[in-house]
Amino acid sequence: MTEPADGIVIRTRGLKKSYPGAEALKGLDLEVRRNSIFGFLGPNGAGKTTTIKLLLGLARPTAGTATLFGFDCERDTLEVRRRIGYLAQDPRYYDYMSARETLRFTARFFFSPGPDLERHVEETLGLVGLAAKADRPIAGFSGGERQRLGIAQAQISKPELLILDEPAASLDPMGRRDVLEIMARLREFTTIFYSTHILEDVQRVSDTVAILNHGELIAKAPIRELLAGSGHTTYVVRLSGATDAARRRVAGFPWAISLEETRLDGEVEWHVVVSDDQAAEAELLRAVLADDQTKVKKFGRRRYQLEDVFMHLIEGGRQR
Amino acid sequence: MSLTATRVTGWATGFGNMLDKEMGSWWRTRRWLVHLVLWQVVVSGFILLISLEQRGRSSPESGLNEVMQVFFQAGGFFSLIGAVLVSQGAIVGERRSGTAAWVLTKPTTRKSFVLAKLVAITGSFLLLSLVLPAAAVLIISQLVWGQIPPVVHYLEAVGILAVHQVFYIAVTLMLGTLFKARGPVAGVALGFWLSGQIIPNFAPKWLSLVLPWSLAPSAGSIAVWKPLGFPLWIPVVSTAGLAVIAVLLALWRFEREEF
Repeated sequence: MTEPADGIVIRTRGLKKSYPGAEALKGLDLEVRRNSIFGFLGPNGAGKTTTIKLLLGLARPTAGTATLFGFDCERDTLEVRRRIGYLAQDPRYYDYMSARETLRFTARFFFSPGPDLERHVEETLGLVGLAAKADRPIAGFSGGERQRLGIAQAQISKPELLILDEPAASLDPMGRRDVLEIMARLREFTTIFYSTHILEDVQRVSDTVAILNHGELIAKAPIRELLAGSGHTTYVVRLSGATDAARRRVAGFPWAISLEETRLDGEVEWHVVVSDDQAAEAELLRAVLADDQTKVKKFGRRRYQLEDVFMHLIEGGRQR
Repeated sequence: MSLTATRVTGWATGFGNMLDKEMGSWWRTRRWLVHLVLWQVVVSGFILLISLEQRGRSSPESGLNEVMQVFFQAGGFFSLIGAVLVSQGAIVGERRSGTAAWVLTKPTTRKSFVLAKLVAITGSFLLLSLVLPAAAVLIISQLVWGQIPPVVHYLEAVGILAVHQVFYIAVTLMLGTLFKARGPVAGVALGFWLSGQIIPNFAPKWLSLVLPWSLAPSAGSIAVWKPLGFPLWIPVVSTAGLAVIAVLLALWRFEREEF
């Protein structure tokens, strides 16, 4: 067991990176737990790739510290790199090599050559569906095949942590699905830290999310918590007919924080934010149906999509 | 299945694998064949033409002397250009393509990255551009002139030319850690060689002596046992020393590189 006893695999404290005329990262504090699939979100230029480069020792921080498994990313970079697998945003390999040669080359940084290593390479090629193309030069590979090779080389050392930079960004829907499936499979064995701006993917596979904007961390939470919104539940009610009396009744409840009304094609849609979900669940629909003239077309809690949360946070950041 | 973890630690971590990869780029692709044919045609072919052209006009001794001078000067020049062209993209190319950043996320040191390139280029390129053509020139000499130069002196001359080429390989690799594009790397390295054709005309003699400019012409004279007029060890030792300094500079600079 190489990670600290608290199960934190990645820890950054006040991590900063400045380039001439630009501050790419402004004091990042981050913790990633073992065996999580941690989605690192942010718009282009938010500082995601910079953070990854600092973790990998490809760049040096201007201030602050980053540790992986308790090892300093700058001072103990070899120890760090022995424990991680990395897939770049736009992975580049030696085009004259075949997929097998690429994996063999990668594996030999970690393991001694021999029949066992060759078997391991063969198995890994099978895992990512490249066995049939194992001995063809990479130069002729499609984007999806390159990405699958990228995942294979990243996990060939059986790393304790996988760092993936935009693993599905350049792929078609099929390629994206394949990559997400491989990630879900690998979660049993390893922690996955990946950056992306494809929110749908994050919602599908991640358990924890951090959102970065302009080099600052603006949110970090388990994805369920983030999707629950501000802590208050919002009910969406769509009605037709007479709604004025029902509206007065609902607005009069002590748990009703706000009621926003919009008119759509002769119908009315309410967004009712409540402070007491149990009371609202028991009383809200009854209060609306109390009037015979009111017809309920739709009723339910609002389900936030990650995109809503993301846009809200990013837009909030812009207004600040 | 039991995979055994590698044991190398310290600066040499990953060196063996990097060296194997670099050697593979020479010997497990067609690159070796291209260079073999190129240098045999350019150097050995050139020497064969000169020898055939001179055969009726010169005595075997003077013909052989001339051929040796041509081989070590012209052959040295061609393979110097080759050394610069082969080395110019070794670091710049990998940095620009992104493969350097990829490799350096694996457990290997930046020293291993640079030194593996130095060793592989030096070994492979010298063998293909100097050692094999030098052997071919011996055969040509025997066939055309019926004699070969004294073997010890010939080997000494080839060794001197090797030091000369290693210097340019080291300098070009070092320049690759300083510049982001191939143009300036090749330009500065070849500019340095070119300045060696001009500066000695008006610079103090010691300057030409401590820099590698006198090595290629000296090698030709050594091969046929002609006196040089200066102690040969001075340019050999100083060029070797300068090559070491270039390598140290390359390691220092590459250690500070950010990707």
